[in-house]
Parts: sequence; C-alpha cells; structure tokens
Amino acid sequence: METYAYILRTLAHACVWTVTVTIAAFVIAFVLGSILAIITTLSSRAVRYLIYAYVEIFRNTPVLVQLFIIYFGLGQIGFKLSPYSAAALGLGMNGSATVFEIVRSSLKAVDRGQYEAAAAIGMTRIQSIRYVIIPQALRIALPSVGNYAVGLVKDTSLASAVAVPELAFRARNLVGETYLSTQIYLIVAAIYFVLSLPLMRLASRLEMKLSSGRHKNA
Amino acid sequence: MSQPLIRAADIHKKFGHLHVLKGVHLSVRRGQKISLIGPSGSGKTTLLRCLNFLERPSSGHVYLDGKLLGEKEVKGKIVPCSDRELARDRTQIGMVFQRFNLFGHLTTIDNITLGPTKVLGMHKAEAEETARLLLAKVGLADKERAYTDQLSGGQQQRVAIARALAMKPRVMLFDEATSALDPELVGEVLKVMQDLAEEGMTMVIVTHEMAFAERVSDRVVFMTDGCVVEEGSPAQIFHEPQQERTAAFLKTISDR
Amino acid sequence: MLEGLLGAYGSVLPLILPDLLGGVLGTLRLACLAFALALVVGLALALAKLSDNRALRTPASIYIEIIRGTPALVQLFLVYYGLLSIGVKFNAFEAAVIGLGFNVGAYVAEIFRAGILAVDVGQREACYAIGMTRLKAMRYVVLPQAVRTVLPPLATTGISLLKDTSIAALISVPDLLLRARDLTSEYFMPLEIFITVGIIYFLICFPLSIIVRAMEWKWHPETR
Repeated sequence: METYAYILRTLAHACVWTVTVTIAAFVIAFVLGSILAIITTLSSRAVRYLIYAYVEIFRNTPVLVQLFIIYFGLGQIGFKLSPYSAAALGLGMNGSATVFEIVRSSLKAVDRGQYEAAAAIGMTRIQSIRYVIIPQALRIALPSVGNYAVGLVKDTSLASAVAVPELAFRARNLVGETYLSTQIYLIVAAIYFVLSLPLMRLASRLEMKLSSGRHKNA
Repeated sequence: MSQPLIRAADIHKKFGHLHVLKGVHLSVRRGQKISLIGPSGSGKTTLLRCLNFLERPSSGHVYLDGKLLGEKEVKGKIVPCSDRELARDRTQIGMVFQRFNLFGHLTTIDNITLGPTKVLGMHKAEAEETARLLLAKVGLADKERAYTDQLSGGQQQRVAIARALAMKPRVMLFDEATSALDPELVGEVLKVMQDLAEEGMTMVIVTHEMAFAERVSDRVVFMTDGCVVEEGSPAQIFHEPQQERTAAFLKTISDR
Repeated sequence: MLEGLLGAYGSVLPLILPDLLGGVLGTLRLACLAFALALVVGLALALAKLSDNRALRTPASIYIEIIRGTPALVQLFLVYYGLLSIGVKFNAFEAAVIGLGFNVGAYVAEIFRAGILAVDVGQREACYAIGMTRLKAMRYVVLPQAVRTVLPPLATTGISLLKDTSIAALISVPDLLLRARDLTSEYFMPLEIFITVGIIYFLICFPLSIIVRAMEWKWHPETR
C-alpha cells in the first residue's frame, strides 16, 4: 500500500510536467501556426513556398527525430536547451505545422462573399482580414484545433525520451524501482485518459455548437 | 449642370478570353435611379461591380464625383491606387449583394455598426444609435441581437441594406438583391428599396423585377452581350423599345 | 570530396550509411507488419461497431475510446513490459508490431466506419431487396464502393504509422532511429546524424504524401 502511495505521489508531480509541456507546446503551435497561415494569405510567392517547405519538413519527419535534433543536436553546437524547453519547442514547432494546415483550410472555408462585403463597406484588406475573416476562420478551426490539443497531450509522452520528468518518464523510473510494470502502466494510461477527457468533451461540444450554424453566412 | 455622381467610361472587362464588357458607358447623376436589365451573361452585374471596383476594368475608367476611382494619376500616367485610397472611396458607395454576405459571426446590430466603428471611427454608442434607427427603418427593430442563421432571407437582405446605409453612402448599388429570395420574401425587400428611392437616394439597380424597375427608375439601361443596347425612360424601354433585341428580351420576360 | 562539403561528417557519413540503411529496413518491416495488423483489427472493429448486436458494438466502442485516449508509447510499454508479469513475453519487435498494430487499428476502424456509412443507404436496401444477406451486401456492393472513400485517409494513416515506428526505438526495436542513437554514442555527432535520419524519413514520406494528395485531388476534387 505504501508503494502505491509513493507511486501516485510521484505520478501526480509528473502530471504537472505533462500539463505544463502540453500548454507550452500548444501556445507555440497555435500562435506560430496561425501567424504562418495568415502570412501565406498576404505575401509573395517566395515567402509562401518557404513556409510550405517548413510545414512539409515538419509533417514528413517523426516528432521524435525532431525532438532529438533540437535537444541533442543543438546541444552539440552550443545551444543547450533544457529538456523542458526542447520538448516544448519541438512539440510546438511540430504542432505549428498541423495548426497551419487547419487554419489555412479554415481561411479558405470562409465564403468569398465575406471579403467582398467587407471591401464594400470600405475596409482595407488588412481590416477585412482582421475583423471579418479571422474571427470566422477561427470559429471554423476550433474543433480541429481541439482535436489537435487532445493528440498533443498524448504526444507529450515522447518528451520522456529527452528526460522531461513527465508521466511516461516517471512511469519507466517507477517500473525500474518497483517492478510493478503492468499496474503502473495501466495507472499511467488511465491518467492520460482522464487528462484528455475534458479536452475531448470540449472538442466535440465545440464541433456540435459550430455545426449548428453560428458561423454560417448567407 | 452638375457632373455625374458616378461615371463609367468605355469599360472593357475580360475574364481570360471571355470578353464580358465591350466598351460600356454609364452615367449616374445625383438622385437618379438607374435600372440595369438584360439576360444573364449580359455583363450587367460585372458593370455594377466595376462601379465600386470590386471588379477592376481591363480598360476604361470609373469616376466618383469627377475623381478617378481605384486609380490615380502619377506623373501623367494612370496607375492603380493604394488599397487604402480605394477603401476610403468605397465608403461613399454602398453595395447590396445577391447572397447578402452578412457577417456570420456577428449579431445583426454588430453587422451594422462594424463599418461605422472600425472604418469611420465612430464611437460604439453613437454607431449603435444610428444602427437602431436603420433597423427600425427596415422593419427589424426587434432582431437586434439575432444572428444570421436565425433570420429569413428577406430579413437578412434588409439587414444587409441597413448595413450599407450605415456608412451614409452617396450612392447605393444593388446586385440582384432579390434574386436569391423565396418569392414571398421579395416584396418586403423591394418595399425597403422603394422607400429608399423615394427619399432621394442615388441608386443603380441590377434586377429581373421588371415591374419594380418600371415603378422606381428614372432611367432603364438594357444590356446584352457586354454592350448597352438601349437606354431611356421606363416608359420608353418597357412600352416602346426601339431595338429589336430589347423587345425580344422583354417578350421572354412577359411570357414567363 | 564529401569532407569538403560536410566537414568531418563527410568522412563519417559513408561509414554509418550502411548501418542507417539497415535501420531503414527494420523500420519498413515494422511499419508494414503493423499496418497489415491495423487493417485487420480496424476492419473487425468497424464491422463490430456497425453491427446490430450490442455485445459487439459496446466493447468495440470502448476499445476505440480507450486506445484513442492514451498515448501509443504507453500502450507499447504495456505490451512489452506490462504483459511480462502475467507471463506473456514478446520480443521488442513483436511487441512493437502488436502495440502499433492494435493502436492504429482503432483509428483505422473509424476510417472504415465512415467509408462504409458514406455508401448510400439505398445501395444496401437494393441488395436486401434482391435477397442478399447483410454480409453478402457488404462484400459485393458496400465494401467495394467504400474503398474509394477510404483509400486516401488509409494511406495517410500508413504514412503516419511509418513515422510513428520511431517510438519503437524507445523500447529498443532495431529501427532507423535506434541505429542512429547508437551511432551518436559512437561518433558524437547527434546533430548531423539525426538530421540525416530526418532527411531519410522525409525522402520516404514526402513522395508518399504527394501521391496521396494526388489521389485526393483526382477522386475528390471538392477538397482541393
């Protein structure tokens, strides 16, 4: 019984790390991805292709490899990041590619007529994008972004590979200490499940609320 | 006499190889109501959209109150003007779209106050006061907080008209404002347009509603195939058309 | 010559490339076996979830929910380390195939389900009207048509699986990433080596994703 108390205490601390990494990575992914998507609507071909290249690179290589490059690779040339920073950065940049695609298709999904109506009342391109297009695009994007967030919680388990003391990492330690492998991994799986539950609930509620037409335009 | 409020001079518009407008002239004086009629594909909508430069003419120019619209003269040459300058001119031209294009993420009243607050720099309270007056004018005072998906097509179009009027435009452009509406909802929108006309607004109306066009317009312009075939008073066009094509078109309308 | 271009790495690269390519083979083997398993598991789950029989539907739904709500890495740990204590011993490669196969199977199930449901109800009714059983209808009419809807997302899932095999390195499966890791402790050039690994993955995945996109544009032009 004492062991279990110790296990749960340790995992509780690890939870905090998991949540922290998730939030940090999400913020990076969301902000960077959205900005990149908005830039592609406003700029020259060269810039656009540069951004597409960035996105393709992150989409076609494994997250784990990206984490290793950032943690071990950058460390080699003098940019030694803490495991937490490396994990947040790696997961964040990887996520930005996903968010980029979501926001870009959301921008495309906004009816052409909205641009015209905004222009007709004398808005500049930037004003149209700011007051009319982006608010609607973000509403369209929300369910997919929610889905991404749910996936992100699970992906933080990879941060264990760069020694962030989150759930997966601590789980392995605890198994090494106590040999209760089945029990510990089941508990950890349950914790992840419980962590992602509210996000999943939120994501599907958003999906239903938005498909009932709040964002529909004539 | 005073110069025309809006003037389109020798407008050509090509979409790829498709020559949609072939040298069209249009002149609209203050207070005039002009109807553009014609078969689909005649270019009337394209011409209308050139009047606020939503379509940029391939050649020819548009003048708002004597000044070039969408372009400017730089060292003797005519070049496109900046986004900002065009946006500023567009505040004087109101447009009502066939598919309403209301801002789906905003309530009715916010749809109407968006332009005045963000473009004209009005204070929100002031803008809302004006918006309420406009909503009452189009008969939707109780729909202030509704979202677009809670309104019928006719209601949405009336909000769209209020939205355009909130910018206090000098001329209103109507692009087949009732074509996307169920028949029983057409009347309420036409009534608002008629009231507007009677108040003296300058209007350019692309429409298939011939009875309405006859009632409300000072001049009717008949277009087909990218050219103006005939123009004149409603009485002339609808009852004594000079051109065969005009007569043929009117006959197909009345036979429907 | 390579040394001039890449510095010290230029002399290392030819030495490690054979090792890395051996790792690629390991990755490909793992991916193919896991994907095949995922397809079987996925189809079974999809049919179970679509059946009229509650005893099939509920466990399938629960399984899918749980798998999708927990990280693949933890599932791998469970299969490899966790099953040990109840006497079931898999080697790392087997554990990875099983773990990844059953994981991806849950996602594949949703793809199959959507694809099957997308086939017009009327088709099935026409089958029943001529006396086909549900199974026959599924086999001769529904599934063949579902294939077109299902192929692009399945291909995309396959490509993701290929990338996700890299987590098997964390339970010491001899794949590309593990080889790379071992090599970094030999040569101390993690930046160059991992970037090389990244490039290798890219060279495999990018062309595949282009092909999938071409498939989608051709069959579903509205998504362009």
